[in-house]
Amino acid sequence: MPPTRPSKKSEAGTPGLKVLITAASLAATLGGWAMLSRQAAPPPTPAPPTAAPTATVIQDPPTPTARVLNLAPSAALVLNLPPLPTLVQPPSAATAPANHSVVANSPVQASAASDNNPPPVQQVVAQPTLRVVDVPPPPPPPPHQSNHSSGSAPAPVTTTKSSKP
Amino acid sequence: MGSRMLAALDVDSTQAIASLAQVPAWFEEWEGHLSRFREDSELSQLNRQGSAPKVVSPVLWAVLEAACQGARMSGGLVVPTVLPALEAAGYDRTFEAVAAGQPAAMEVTAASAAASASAAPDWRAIQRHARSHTVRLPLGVRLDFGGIAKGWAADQAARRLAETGPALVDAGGDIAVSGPMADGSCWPIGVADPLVPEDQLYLLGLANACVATSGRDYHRWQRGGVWQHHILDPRTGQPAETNVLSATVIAPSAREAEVAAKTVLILGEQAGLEWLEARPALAGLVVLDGGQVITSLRLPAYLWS
Repeated sequence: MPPTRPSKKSEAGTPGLKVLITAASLAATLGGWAMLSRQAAPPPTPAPPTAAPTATVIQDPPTPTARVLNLAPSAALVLNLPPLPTLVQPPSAATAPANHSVVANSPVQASAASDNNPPPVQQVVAQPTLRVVDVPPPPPPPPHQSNHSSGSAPAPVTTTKSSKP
Repeated sequence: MGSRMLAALDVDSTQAIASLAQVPAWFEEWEGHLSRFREDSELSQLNRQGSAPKVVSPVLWAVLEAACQGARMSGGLVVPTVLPALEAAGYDRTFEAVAAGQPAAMEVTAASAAASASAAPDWRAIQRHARSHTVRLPLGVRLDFGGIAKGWAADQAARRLAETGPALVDAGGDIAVSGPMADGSCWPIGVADPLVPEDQLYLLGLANACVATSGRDYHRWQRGGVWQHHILDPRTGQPAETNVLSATVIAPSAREAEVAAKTVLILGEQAGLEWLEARPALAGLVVLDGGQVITSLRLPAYLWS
């Protein structure tokens, strides 16, 4: 009766099982990672859509210029978003005009607000004390009185003009 | 008076509504005294009176006094004695009738034609007795208060409304304010562009001053193929020859502003502005035929700010 040979398989079978287990663990781990990665993936996913319009607005001068000029409050919100500097490139030189155009109205308002004088005159004629205006003057400056908070000239209550006696 | 009127009160109360509701009746009453286009007006009766003395109402007396003060103020350029010349120039009916080409109420005679070519009668010849309010017109003199009546009416209405609150009254472009608005600010008042009436040349801020505009842009008609306008130069009896299309003047009262605006227009650009600058209580601007706008040195003090 032939002796039962100890099977090397039994000796060798343990490592094989370990390999199998290891491979299975690896597969499970990879599967778990895969699952985890699927579960973990969504959070970063919304970020690009959030940042994308801002980046588009900032990096594409023509578009933001139009939007900024027409929607100044929105432009102010974009500028105040704290995460943006970490998500997008810092404003380049090309974006500067867009930001400048946001405040483009301010110089106009500031100029008007600081203008206490009548509309500009263009030349002085025969009488040095008289000022000649060749073209109708620009709209009058806004009020400085505290009771006019609108910052722009009000509509007149009425208008003086020549009329029949 | 055939003009657009506006009255405003800067107060929120039922009393304001009641006060404003009285304004049309005031103007109606004044027109009954002062209109030369109403046959039954007191003025028309006075003009028909000839040289006989007549006791006049307080309203007519007050406006006649204002007209004589205006004549003094203007150096005789804005006088109440140009009616014959006005009629000779064709302004013998309401302007609507003149513009529509309706027949004249009176034919143009040699006498009226002569009147149109001669100086207006001396306003100082009008005899007035203050205590009795008696008036005696020199022979051949008839009165027309013209814009003086508008300015006086604006002043008077603003003064009456001021009993209720801060008031503004616009009588056909002659604008009187009783003082600042309720919050202490000025009344915003536009100056229309005579070349583009819907546009505004300036925005004034008036609290203690009034404003009026006189111009050739609005009130014109043709006679014998020649353009006429209603602002006569009493020195010639003819429509004033001037390069000023319209003049706007700010003054302590609307009637003074009316007189001053007409004076500046009659005098023309150079002399008119010199006349304006020589009077510290006045400020204003002129628009020339070519569209140039010339402002007086004191105008900036009255621009909205």
